Amino acid sequence: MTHCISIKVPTMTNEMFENLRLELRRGCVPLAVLAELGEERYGYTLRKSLTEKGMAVDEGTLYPLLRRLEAQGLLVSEWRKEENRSRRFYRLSAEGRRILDRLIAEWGAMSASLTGIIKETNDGSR
Amino acid sequence: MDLVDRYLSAVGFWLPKDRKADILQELAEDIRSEMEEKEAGLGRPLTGPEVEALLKTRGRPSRMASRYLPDRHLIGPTLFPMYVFALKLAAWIGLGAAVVLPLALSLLLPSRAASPAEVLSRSIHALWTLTLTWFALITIGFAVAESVQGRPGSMRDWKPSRLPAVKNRMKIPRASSLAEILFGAFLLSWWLGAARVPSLAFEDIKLLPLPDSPLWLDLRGPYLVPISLVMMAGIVLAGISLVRPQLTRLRVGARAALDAAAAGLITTVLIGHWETIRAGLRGLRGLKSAAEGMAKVEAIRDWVLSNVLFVIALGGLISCFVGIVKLARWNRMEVKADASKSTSADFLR
Repeated sequence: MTHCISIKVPTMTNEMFENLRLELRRGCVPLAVLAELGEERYGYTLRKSLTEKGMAVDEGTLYPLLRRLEAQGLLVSEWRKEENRSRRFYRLSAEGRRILDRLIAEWGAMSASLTGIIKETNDGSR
Repeated sequence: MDLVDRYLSAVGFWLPKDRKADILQELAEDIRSEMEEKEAGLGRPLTGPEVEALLKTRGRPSRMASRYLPDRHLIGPTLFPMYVFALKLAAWIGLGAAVVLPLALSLLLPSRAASPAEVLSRSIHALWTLTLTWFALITIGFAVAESVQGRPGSMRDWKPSRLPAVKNRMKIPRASSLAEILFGAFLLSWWLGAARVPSLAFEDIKLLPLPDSPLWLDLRGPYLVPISLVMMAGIVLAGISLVRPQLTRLRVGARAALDAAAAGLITTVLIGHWETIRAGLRGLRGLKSAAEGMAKVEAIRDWVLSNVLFVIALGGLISCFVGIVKLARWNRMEVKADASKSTSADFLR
């Protein structure tokens, strides 16, 4: 019985942590994507670049997000031949650039607030 | 590539026609790029199992396709709790109407046509049909409501002041006690013959001559005093609740005992006369001449009266059962009432 409990508790904790981590990251993905598309890229290179920078996004999330951002007018895209392959290239639109600047400012403020809150909590628990 | 083509075809099955080709082309390009990169790293083409592993990490085709589709709900998170509540309510009503009631009838008023086991088997079948139909209708109703409430602005148009008042389950509303006293007093005075209600006074009933009914005579005879006492006790109990509305274990127990007594008295009268009522009903078909008309009226009268009494007895039984459940869950009820009281107090502070 004790054996069962000692296995289940960490698994549940890990699962809980994983869910919270995904929730935390979910809101940051559009910002990361918009920031990366200051420079024109196609889907695969964008995915690789995000992964290399520590923001791995799976293709099932990335491509629908790109389409959504394009439908909202924040991105523009075009199919082009490169290395004898048809690829869809994305880049920021003028509106996307304006929104990105505002999101970056918002992110800065939020990050500062959270840092303050976390610092207070850490100081208090010591 | 066969496996990749199969994967893309399976994803495409779920995609909208107008965007399908575009999405699949981009997805194919992504898969191909990933495969090429892996092959370059390994210095050889990918094996079948390696391609399969690569596709598996992308998730099931239907799941992959769903990411491209807008979020849609038949019944969304706002209406879902209400939907579950409606289903539960329908299930309980269905259970009562299709199973409990016919079974209680077959036990209390046995008939040769069907045994309780047969009634139960038929009832379960009826419950299945009834609940399925209700569930389908409720689901359709909520799906329509969902499509209406999904429109912009529909969820913002509400008034907090129209929310229902918080119910205190440990308190009996004074209005309800007062209504019970008034109705009880009226019923008792009618029962004892002190009040005259034109269409209900014994002497005025022409269509159903109650005074001659053996069932009625029994009720008015040996059962007159016990039934009157139960009625009086009910009025006294309502009077106490009017002065002290706080619910107590003793009050709930007394109410359950009174309900049980009323149900018991009426059931005893019904069982005593059941064979006579059934014999009268069986003889209805054979009565044709005008002279036999009176016998027909009497048979119908007894049948109607027995049904009215049955409903009263059943009501008493249900009310008694509710009282017993309340007593069994008393501690939990008190905790809940305290919690809601303290929540309200916190807000008012």
